[in-house]
Amino acid sequence: MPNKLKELLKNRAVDISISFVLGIGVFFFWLEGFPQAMSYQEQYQLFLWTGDYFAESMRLPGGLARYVGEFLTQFYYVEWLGALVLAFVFVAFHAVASLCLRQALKGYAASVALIPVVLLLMMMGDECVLLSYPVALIVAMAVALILGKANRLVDLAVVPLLFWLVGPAVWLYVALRGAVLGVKKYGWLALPALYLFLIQELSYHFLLQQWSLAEALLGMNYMRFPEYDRWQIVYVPAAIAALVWVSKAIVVKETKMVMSLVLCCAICVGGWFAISNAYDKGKYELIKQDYLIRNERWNDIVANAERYTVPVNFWSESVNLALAMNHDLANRQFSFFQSGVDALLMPMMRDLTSNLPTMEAFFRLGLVNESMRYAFDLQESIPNGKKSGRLTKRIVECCIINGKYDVARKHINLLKKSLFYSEWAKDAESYLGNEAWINAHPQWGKLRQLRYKDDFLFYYGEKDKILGNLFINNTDNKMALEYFMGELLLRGDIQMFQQGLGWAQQYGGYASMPAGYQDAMRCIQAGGEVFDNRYSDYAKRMKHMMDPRMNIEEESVH
Amino acid sequence: MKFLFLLAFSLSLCLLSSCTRKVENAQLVDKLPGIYPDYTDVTIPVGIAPMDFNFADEGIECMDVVARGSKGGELHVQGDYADFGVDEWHELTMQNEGGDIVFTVCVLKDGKWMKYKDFKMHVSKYRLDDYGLTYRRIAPGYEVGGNIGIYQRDIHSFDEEAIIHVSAVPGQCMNCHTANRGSASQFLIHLRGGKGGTILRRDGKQMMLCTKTDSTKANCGYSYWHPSGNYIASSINSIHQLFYTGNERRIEVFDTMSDVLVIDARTNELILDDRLQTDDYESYPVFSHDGKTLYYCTAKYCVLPAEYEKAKYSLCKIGFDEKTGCYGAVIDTLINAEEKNASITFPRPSYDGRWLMYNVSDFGNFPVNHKEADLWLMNLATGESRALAEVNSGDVESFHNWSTDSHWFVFSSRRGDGMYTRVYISCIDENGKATKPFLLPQRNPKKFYDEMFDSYNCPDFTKEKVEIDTHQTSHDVMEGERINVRVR
Repeated sequence: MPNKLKELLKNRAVDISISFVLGIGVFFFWLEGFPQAMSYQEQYQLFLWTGDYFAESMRLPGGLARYVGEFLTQFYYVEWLGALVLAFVFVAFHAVASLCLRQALKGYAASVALIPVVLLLMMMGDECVLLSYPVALIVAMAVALILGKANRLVDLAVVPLLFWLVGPAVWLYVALRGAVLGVKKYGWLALPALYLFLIQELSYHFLLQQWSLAEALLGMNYMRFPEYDRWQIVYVPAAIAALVWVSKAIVVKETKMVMSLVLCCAICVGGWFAISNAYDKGKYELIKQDYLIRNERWNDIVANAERYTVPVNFWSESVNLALAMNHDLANRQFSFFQSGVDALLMPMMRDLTSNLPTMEAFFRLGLVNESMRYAFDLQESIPNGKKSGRLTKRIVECCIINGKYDVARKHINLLKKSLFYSEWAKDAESYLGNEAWINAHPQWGKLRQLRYKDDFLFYYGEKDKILGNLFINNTDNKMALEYFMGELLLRGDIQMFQQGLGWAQQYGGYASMPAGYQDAMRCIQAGGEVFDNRYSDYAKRMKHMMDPRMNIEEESVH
Repeated sequence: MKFLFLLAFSLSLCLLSSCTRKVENAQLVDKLPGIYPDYTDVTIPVGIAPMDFNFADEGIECMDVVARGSKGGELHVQGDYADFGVDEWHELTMQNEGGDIVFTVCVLKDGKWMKYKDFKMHVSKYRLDDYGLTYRRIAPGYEVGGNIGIYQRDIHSFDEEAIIHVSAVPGQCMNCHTANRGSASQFLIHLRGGKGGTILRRDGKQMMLCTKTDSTKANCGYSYWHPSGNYIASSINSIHQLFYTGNERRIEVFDTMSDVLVIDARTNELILDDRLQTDDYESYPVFSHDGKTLYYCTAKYCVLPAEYEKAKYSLCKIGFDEKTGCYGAVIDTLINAEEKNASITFPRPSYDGRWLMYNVSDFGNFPVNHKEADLWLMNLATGESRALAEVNSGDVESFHNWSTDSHWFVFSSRRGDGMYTRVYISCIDENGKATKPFLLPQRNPKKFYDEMFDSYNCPDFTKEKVEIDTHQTSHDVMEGERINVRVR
């Protein structure tokens, strides 16, 4: 081993150990703790390996950070790879932050640099924060480190360039340069800050005509939602800048390893509590249900619901879909929280997440057009205008089932330019126009049998009738039967439910009357007041128990 | 360093010479070349953007195209697609005004050249001097506007820019830019959503209007300027949409209520008339070229959406006095929907007063989603109508508008793939004969349209470039005061 390397390892043993442990910790944090967060991020972008995609990214300030962030995010498609990417990002972030602090804090720098790492990890608990944000901060710090004490005149070129590459994270660069060069040598710190502000103002007035001032100043690529609280992006760079400036006043003569480790442990323990609170349990449980649906892990969804409940529609729909896929909806629907009359299928909500379970349920029921409609609108609800690999795939599937091959091909061509959807797209392309293949496909062929062939208008208020007709259309469609009966129970349409029991007996494939239907019948026969009866509990919650037909009004928890 | 220079030089040479080969021993193919877009026999105006095209079969190695003018001039291009320079192309079209441009296409495939039969484009004697087009770009979704924006495109080049994009007014859905005969200084844009309203620009002043009053049930919708610029005809619609379960249709848009009125743009007053605000459905008002007549469509009341196939719109007209702002005494029915057993919508009179173009579909008021929807043309002098067979296709044609000299019209169609609407332009002569329309030219059109996931809505010509202070508009929309219109 060369002597220089030996010396480096000896001098930086603590730093390297901290980075190594941090990397491992972050890797398992995402892989074991929050794989659903990676799935969530990945499904709202579609990185394309084309020059146009790069050019489009570079059109706006922060373009390089956006491009690199999206490039890295695509690897979330493979969970362990995504976790590895995140581990590298955090290690890189820690390393550059540590180097920024090293001159003043010497051997304590690596430990203190964990503070911004913790803050960053907390911020990424907000699902709206994109990976371009840490990428931008890393680049800003790295450039400041590379330039070191270079003449301040270079900033005349570097500041605007860096602004275009990484966006407003360039403010961190300015603060770090000020700290390195010293206030006197760098001129007033106000001068470069003024220069940067001027650049942002000019960009806003002349180049960013279609963007707001807040976006020009605080970034347009760090968060998914344009109107989101952008000021939170200031916390991490402000913390780094503050640490660097404050550390300049502290003179560390020598590093005591024990002290360094104590500091490290203290930050880790404090950080752990802070991070635990930054990841909203309910939100991530919902994201997890969607992640499990995406991976068709029906048993895990039910098992998850046995441990925890988030009392909203999204939760009910996810669990009901999983039960139906296990042919168990008739037995256990009311064993789990039912949010109301929308607990099986939700009306269109104009956001990027709420309708995912409904889209998946529509597809599997054979309501192919409805699934495609929801997929389209979900995709168009992605606020930064990105396409989605997952939703585009669904649109392709719907088009193939409906025989709309031109539109399918258009979307397939898009997927072919991605890394992880390309193979699937090429396979799907081989089906275009080949009716025999499509009919023989295990899912598409089956859905061709189940779907409606006649055109009539889908009216959400009559979804029970639509489900009933869907079942009549093909009595092999047991999922439609279970959804139909479940819908009647949710609405409290007892008369139709009792009539439907005949269908359930004839076509349901049950050995005996499903436990859920037995519960419901006991409740109906007893006029609603039944002890230890799940359906009765639901009906009471819906507050319409005394209605002889238990005609429950729409009262849903969205 | 020297090595790097040599490497860069060699790479540049390779790129430049990737498809510069001499066409030799070409095998003659006795058919027209399959090109995208289909520009064979189309009629184009002088000065239109270069009519670039691709060979439809993607498996070719190179394409060699020679364009010769019947009155002189020649262009020779070679590459992955036919890509003409803007200036050279303009010169060629100018040289051949009223003549033809003949294209000789050779393609290199599997190492062999093949030469196809020549095809022509006709250069019209009618000029198209408008600056370009305005249109809305929106993904063909269902209920979500998404990455929506109103754009303008210079039709003499490939330059496109947003007039206003949703990023400037987050969360707002915007309707189309409605100009007074293509004027960039008189236009309006309706916005829906929490910050909805009407951006009205007139004579250099811009304001935000709230067009809903106690006497009218909704905000103004489909609008059309009076030629004087003093009035705007508008419908007020309660627009809904439902979605089909089957395979052939996607969406049905319908109004559960609609009326017609006129806004006095000078005083921000609504001019109402009981005859235009009945229980029936009145919509799509437009002024005639001289402003003395108001055309509109009306359907008899039926229960919507239950009886959606019964909603069939007739074309009617009523007089309008510009001086007094009063409607005429008589309403005439020009086309009776019951007699025709069809629905007439989107009337658009030409600005020279000769023609009235409209949509015909089986039923309903939104032909954009009706595959059978076609364009028809009425001769206003004789009242005779005919389907524009030379323009219509087996898919949707709709959203048409006239150039300011009324010799060209633009429309959108889904003839490409059945879902994404594209913009087509056609020429019309003194006798009302239209030419084969051409798809709005783009650089590398196959790639462009394949990668374009937006539909083009409501294309219209604009005489000059629309200049708008987007930041001010954004501020007006998101935070500005609305001027409430009142009923006269």
